Amino acid sequence: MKKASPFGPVARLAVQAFMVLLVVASVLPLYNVLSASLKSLDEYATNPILLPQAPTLDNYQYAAFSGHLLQFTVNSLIYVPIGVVLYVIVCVMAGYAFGKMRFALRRPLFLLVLFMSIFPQLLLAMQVSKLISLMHLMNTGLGVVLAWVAYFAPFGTYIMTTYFTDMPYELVEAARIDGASQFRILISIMAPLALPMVATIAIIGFQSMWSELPFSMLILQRESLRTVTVGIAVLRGEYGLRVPILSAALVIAMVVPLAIFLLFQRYITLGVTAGAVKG
Amino acid sequence: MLKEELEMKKTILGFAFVVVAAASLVAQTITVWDFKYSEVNATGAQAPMKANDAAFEKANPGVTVVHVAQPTDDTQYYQIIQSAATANDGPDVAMFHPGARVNGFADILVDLDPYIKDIKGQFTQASIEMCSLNQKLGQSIKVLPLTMQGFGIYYNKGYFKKAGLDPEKAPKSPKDFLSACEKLKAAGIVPITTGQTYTIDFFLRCAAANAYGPNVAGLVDGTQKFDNPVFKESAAFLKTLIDKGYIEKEGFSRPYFMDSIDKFASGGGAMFVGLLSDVGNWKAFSDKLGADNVGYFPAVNFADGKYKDQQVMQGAGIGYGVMKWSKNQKLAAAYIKYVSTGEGAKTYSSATGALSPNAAAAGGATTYPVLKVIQGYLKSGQKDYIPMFYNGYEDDANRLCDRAFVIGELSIDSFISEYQKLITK
Amino acid sequence: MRYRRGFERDGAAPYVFLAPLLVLLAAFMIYPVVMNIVTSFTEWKGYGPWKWIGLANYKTMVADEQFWASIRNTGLMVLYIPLSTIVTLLIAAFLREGIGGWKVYRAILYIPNLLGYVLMGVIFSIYLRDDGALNMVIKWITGSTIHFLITPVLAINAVGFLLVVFLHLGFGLIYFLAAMNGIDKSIYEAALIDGASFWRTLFRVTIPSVRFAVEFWVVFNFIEVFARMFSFIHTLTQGGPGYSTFTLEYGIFIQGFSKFKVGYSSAWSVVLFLFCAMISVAQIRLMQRRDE
Repeated sequence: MKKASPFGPVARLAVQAFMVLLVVASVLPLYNVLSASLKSLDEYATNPILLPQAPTLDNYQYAAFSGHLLQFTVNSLIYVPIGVVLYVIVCVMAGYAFGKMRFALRRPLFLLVLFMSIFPQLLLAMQVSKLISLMHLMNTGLGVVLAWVAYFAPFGTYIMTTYFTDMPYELVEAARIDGASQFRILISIMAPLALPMVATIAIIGFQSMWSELPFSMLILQRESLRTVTVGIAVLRGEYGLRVPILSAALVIAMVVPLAIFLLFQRYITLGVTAGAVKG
Repeated sequence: MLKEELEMKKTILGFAFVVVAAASLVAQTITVWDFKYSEVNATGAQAPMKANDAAFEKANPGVTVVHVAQPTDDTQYYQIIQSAATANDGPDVAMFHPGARVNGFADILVDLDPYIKDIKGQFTQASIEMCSLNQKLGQSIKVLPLTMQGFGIYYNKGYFKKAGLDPEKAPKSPKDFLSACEKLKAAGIVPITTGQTYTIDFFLRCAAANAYGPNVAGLVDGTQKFDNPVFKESAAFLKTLIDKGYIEKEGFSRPYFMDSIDKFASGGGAMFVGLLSDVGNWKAFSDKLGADNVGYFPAVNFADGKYKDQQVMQGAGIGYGVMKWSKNQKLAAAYIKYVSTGEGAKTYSSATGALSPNAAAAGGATTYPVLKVIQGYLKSGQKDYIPMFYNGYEDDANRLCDRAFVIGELSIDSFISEYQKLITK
Repeated sequence: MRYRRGFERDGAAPYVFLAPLLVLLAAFMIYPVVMNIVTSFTEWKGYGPWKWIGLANYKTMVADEQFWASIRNTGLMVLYIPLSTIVTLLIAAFLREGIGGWKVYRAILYIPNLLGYVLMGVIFSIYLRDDGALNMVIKWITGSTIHFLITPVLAINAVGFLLVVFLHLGFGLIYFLAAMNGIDKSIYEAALIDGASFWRTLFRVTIPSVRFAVEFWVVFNFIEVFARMFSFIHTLTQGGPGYSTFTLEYGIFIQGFSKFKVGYSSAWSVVLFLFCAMISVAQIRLMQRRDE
């Protein structure tokens, strides 16, 4: 349905032009990374900006094989999904408890969780790695997954809490009257209804864990176990990395998150929508 | 019956023992953590390291060297080392920057003295000193040096000729230097390729060698100050170079130093304050610009100075240490001995262009004329003051240089006094 | 009826449901935070023995120029939050007004978000160089270059603008567009029938209706400024030139990981915690108001 626009034609044009500028500004970085990744080191020194004159896949070869990024991507593809599954379970359970259950410590505990969701990883990294080594989980996938879930769960819990809070209580009430236990209610009724939101936090969790650096760097010290994000950190030389190689490495690291974004766009939108409309 | 059973048991036990012993012999691995191992460019460290590892394994059958590349960023690398220290578990061997850094980690590094009695004399005193606890000779040696480090000014002889300058005459006096820059600029050549604040930082280090000579260590105990006529003049000189546009201002905002190195190497400028380590060095430049095309001099000689042509250097640039939790300390020590001396050191140096402080590794590539020039200057080497102070000093010093030279918000006098304050904090 | 809404308790079940989260938090978040606070009263290099020194770190901190520079810089970043809010709201409103294909715009403008702070920091550090793309254009137009990354004022403002305004645009658009879509259509149509101009509608109808969304957006930005700027600054300017983009987070990093003065760095983190505490109190207040 086309409605009359409150813009005059000139204003409309100006706005369109501005939007195009924004689009260019948003896409340009991507273009730069791609074009730099296809240039040889020599070419980049003389032509850093324009299209590659003699495109080459050398940088990709270097990054993927000498830099082991392909192997690391496989590692990430193992750790991150496991992390996401655990993360979803923890967040859904906690979100339901905060959102729909009544208990004395609800407010203070929720405040604590909110508080925890703010901290920068910097502050926690060394202590977390110390804990992991105390638990004898150093250099294990389990160790790094636990650290990830612990760090990212507060935010996911917050989202699920908002969602569950807004669900009509009648559903729970009816089931309680029927004598169902909380656990059954969650599994049979609430979780299925929350599936779109669950998908959203799963995707957000995936992106966060995929690009996480401080914890994975300290916990996965053995080369063969590394994630792709750590792999890129290691590629840097003493005075900085040659841009073409770095670009190729970044592209390789970006492939999976980009794919997830393109495939599951509407879930990200959905999640943000729910958060936005409710406030 | 009993006697036979006993015999049987003995045999089985004996056999088991042999198997276990053989297995432990076969299963011996040395894990090495390295922040240079990821370098695979033309003069990169990975190739010679791989060669050395293979040679070591060949000489010690049953031993495997597991070489792990760690992030090169100082803060990341030492964070990982700290993490290993907290867990009291990690590699057998790890790479370190000798100097103040080593003191912080002294408690997790094995004293190497008993293992290196036979080769200690092969190393320069300066290198052993830097690798010892508190950088004092006579204290425990914590790290075995792999490279020497130093800084100096490289120049492109071809460009000098083009600007009408004598390519064999290094512009060592301030007057010559300025006039060289002027002529280069007039000929349309960038006089000095700049790399972030490193250019300032390195230039000051070179100047310090001429300013203090053998008394550089006096800066630590206060007998020498930065308020020194030659040092001060050098700082003022730097400002002049920037104001006149001889120092390429663009280079300050170049995010990666390697780009500046590449720029000079591909003919982007006439002079470059470079390194004598394994990057930005004589080999990289000679290979790219032509071995006959690279000139070198260690510093600008200011008239006031008592000392001239002094070469600033760090006895040791990087080295390896054995970690105290290693279960194969003897083997680990043997490994680091191998890579830091004789054939091992030669392999590393000739591939990367790094200079080794080990006498048995001498006799580098004689096809590089500029190397001979450098070796000449090395004879009058003076200590670099930057590693003498606290951890993270370089970061503080560089930010101060930013403020004084890049932003220009400090006068030379305030710069000198602030610079002095940094180390008396 | 045995159950009365808002009154009954659910027994032990909630705690069972919360157990995984709370256990993980206790171990990996609360313990490190507590240790951080304790460490701020010690002198420690990061591992090994530590020495109790009471308030000495705090005294040094208060006298430290770098500390105040970092507070100042973080504060400057906060000043960009209003700009970010206004710009994002405006663009969301523009898109809503039937500029065809707003869904596509929304997706494309999300790309910088997707690429992440590290990547964007690297890319902009290359763009904003004196010999970088932007300066090539500027040189062509004006004949001289602008030293974005080596002039203090420009550097800090570049960080503020890029991070707080530009990089949050994608996420912000999704957020505000969703909020605006939730506005009751009838109110909106009534305004149009009255012949209200774009701006009138915006200020009288749209913005008041998304008030809560705006408030949460501001809180979100505060969190970003205090606790999420590090990777961008590290790749773009490393806190420089000098100390001009040195924020509180960056200072914690340098003290702790470059200088190994972990005790001192912890004192700085306690200051950061205090700010984070204030932010979460604001968050809770907002949520409580919304519930009413």
